Amino acid sequence: MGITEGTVVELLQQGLQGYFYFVTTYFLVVNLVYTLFIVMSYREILRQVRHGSFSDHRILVQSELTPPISVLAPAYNESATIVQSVKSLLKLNYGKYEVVVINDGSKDDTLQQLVQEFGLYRSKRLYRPYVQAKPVRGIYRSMLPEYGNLVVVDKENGGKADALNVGINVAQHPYVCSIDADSLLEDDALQKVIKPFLEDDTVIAAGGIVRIANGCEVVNGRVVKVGLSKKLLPIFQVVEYFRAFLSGRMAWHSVNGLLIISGAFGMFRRAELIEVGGYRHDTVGEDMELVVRLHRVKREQRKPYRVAFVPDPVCWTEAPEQVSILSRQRNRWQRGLFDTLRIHLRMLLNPRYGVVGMAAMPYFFFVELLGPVFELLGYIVTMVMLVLGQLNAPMAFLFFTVALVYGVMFSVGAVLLEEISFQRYPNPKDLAVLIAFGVLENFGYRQLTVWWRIKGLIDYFRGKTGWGSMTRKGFELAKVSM
Amino acid sequence: MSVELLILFSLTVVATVFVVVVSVGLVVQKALHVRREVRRKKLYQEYASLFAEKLLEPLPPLPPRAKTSAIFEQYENLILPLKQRLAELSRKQREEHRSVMRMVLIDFAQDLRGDATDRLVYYFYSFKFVEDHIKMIGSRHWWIRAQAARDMGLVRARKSLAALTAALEDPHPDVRNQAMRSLLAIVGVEALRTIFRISRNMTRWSQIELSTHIVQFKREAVPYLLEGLLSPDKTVMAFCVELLGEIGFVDAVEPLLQLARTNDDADLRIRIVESLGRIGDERSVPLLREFARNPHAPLRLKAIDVLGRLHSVESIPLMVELFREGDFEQKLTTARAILKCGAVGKEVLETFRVVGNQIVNQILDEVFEEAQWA
Repeated sequence: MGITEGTVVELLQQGLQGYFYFVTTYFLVVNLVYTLFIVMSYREILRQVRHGSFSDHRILVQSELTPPISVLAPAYNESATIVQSVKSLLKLNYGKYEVVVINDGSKDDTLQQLVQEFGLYRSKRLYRPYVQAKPVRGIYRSMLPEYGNLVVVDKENGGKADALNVGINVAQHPYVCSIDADSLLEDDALQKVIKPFLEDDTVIAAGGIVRIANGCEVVNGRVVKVGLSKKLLPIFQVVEYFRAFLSGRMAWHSVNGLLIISGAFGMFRRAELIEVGGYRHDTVGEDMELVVRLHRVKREQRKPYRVAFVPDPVCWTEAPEQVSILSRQRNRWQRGLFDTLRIHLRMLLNPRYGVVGMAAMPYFFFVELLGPVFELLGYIVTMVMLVLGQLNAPMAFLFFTVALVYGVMFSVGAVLLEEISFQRYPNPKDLAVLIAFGVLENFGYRQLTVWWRIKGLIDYFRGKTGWGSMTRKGFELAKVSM
Repeated sequence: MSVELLILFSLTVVATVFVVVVSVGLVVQKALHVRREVRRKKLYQEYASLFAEKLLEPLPPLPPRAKTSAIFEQYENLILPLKQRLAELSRKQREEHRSVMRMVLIDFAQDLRGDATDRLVYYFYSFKFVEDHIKMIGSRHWWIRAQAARDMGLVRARKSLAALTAALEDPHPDVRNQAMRSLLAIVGVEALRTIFRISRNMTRWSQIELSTHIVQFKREAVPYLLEGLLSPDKTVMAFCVELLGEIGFVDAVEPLLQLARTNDDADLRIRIVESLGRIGDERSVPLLREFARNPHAPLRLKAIDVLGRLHSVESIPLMVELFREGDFEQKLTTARAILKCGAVGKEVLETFRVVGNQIVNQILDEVFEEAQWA
């Protein structure tokens, strides 16, 4: 072997070794952060649960001082479920509110279903474009008094963000609540999510927790009995959602660093949305991008503000049950994340943006965005070192064991947070299943999501845009089929 | 063993212990919790039944010259067996039983009326729950202070009035809200005087909570709300303005008009205008006409809107001017207001239809359509 070859091999070995140490350090830092999240979330959830026992949101229904809300529900090709969805939205337990359904240029008979069922007529109401959006073809109101608070807007297809912008333009009330058309809201969802705005007038946006409805009993658009799905994939997602919502978002909420309000359910002050120009429609992560933009604008204006999170369950959604659909979803989330961080890159590690710039953005950049890349490279490096005979086997084994055990610890910690707070799974057997899946998800499921997220990044650089098809079968059908 | 291995090994042990302890602990804790709840439920039912008996049991009539305290002696005799039973228990058991008894009495307090309520209050004092609660109002944990404040209101414990009044200035909003509720429950509408005098920076939530109690008093609350208009705190003042509008008593008109003239805060004026609209008294019209020309757009639009709600036909010429010179929002608001003035207003609006002026015609179409379906 020549000197040159030996030097190259030595350099390679040092590089691999160096990367191994980097990943180890990275892993330690990330797990420290996760541990901090769990502690912060625990304290915040405890505070909110205690607070909830003294402030009964149901009084909002009794008082005339309760502010009115506009619920915005974009719909695209929802013919099969739109009527039931709208009916359940019209039965929410709240004082004064309107439901604005935005038909985003559906190719099926979504609009016709609505016109027929709700006795709609084409209104002469003027459309005022406070926020830029695709053209509106017509605004419809109901002739029937019981549907007096329903408004349907028909527009050219422009995507969910564009549809929401139209909703913002048409909304009449000072607070707007954006939801997915197939979200199942709890009866008192509006009461719970308006509360932060009433307790603190600096709150400009609030998100609610989204729960997985697969396996739950759904009647007339309401979850009447909570349970776990019999399929594996949704149960993994339940644990993931606990981790993301109860741990991650609660922790960020406690330091006013929350960057995401789920598109499935979020409430905003309408004036603030108009001020920042509404949703961007050139990104698939429009929900996160909007919240980050709100942070940016407020911090640049140096005005006090808060973006809040309500841990009380308010919204249920159908989680993908097929691997192909789940992979498309995670792919899109990763692309949306990268896009948002790219758009607001100047906030990253910029002290002008306080905890958002110095903590939240770096976390999402280095952990959520790049974490899968480091992890995959870690696996590859380990394999290469093993092949070259350079791997310290006990060290590597111990490292992977620690990684695995910590992964399990955080999943179990997230289940603990659920148990100390809302206990929506009353059956001890369900709790045991969730803990078991918290362990199992580290043997394959998590690695799958890492791969999907990396593929999302690759697709982003390849210029892929759009949502892909997200086939849903609807809750009533799912109940019958089980 | 190298340092790195040692670190990793230690981390593994810590994490593993955590996982095992938490997992097993969660499931065991849930099972124990279920058992504990079953036991408490059983105890609750037992004490509920006992107290129901004690609260409703007819008492022998007292002789005509009996002392006032004689009735309390009768109450005391009813619960003596319970006190003896408590004395026989161990300290831990006694605490649990007292906790359940307190829960039972507090739950009953929400439903009882008349003589039974007097007995219940007596029992609460006799078992020294009131003293316990007054101490709890001084706790360093806000949730304990809030719970104590709430319970005092439920059992109408007058002895706690001083503590509840002090709690109106508590740093935590939940404690303040519970204190307000309890004061209203114990003292009645007169508590509003103290509440408005002491309260500062009332959140919207606090206002909503308080409003649900105040509207039950209706006209009785009006004098206190009028006093509240003089509060140095803007949030209290604004709240009183809104509630006067909600209750809708005409005695409030002159004080509101006076306040609108002397206080130049635009937000407050908007609320005053809204309240005047809800009260619906014609004495408001001159001020509203003045505000309809105010440079602050939200106040101007609100005044125009209220002129419409008051069906102020004599203000139509003014509104016609405002329609002609106003921007889109002002045109829309004014058109709505004019239409609310009845047939006269409708005729006037029809004269606005101008061939070629699309915006005006669209505004009129929208306004007429709204009226048709209203």
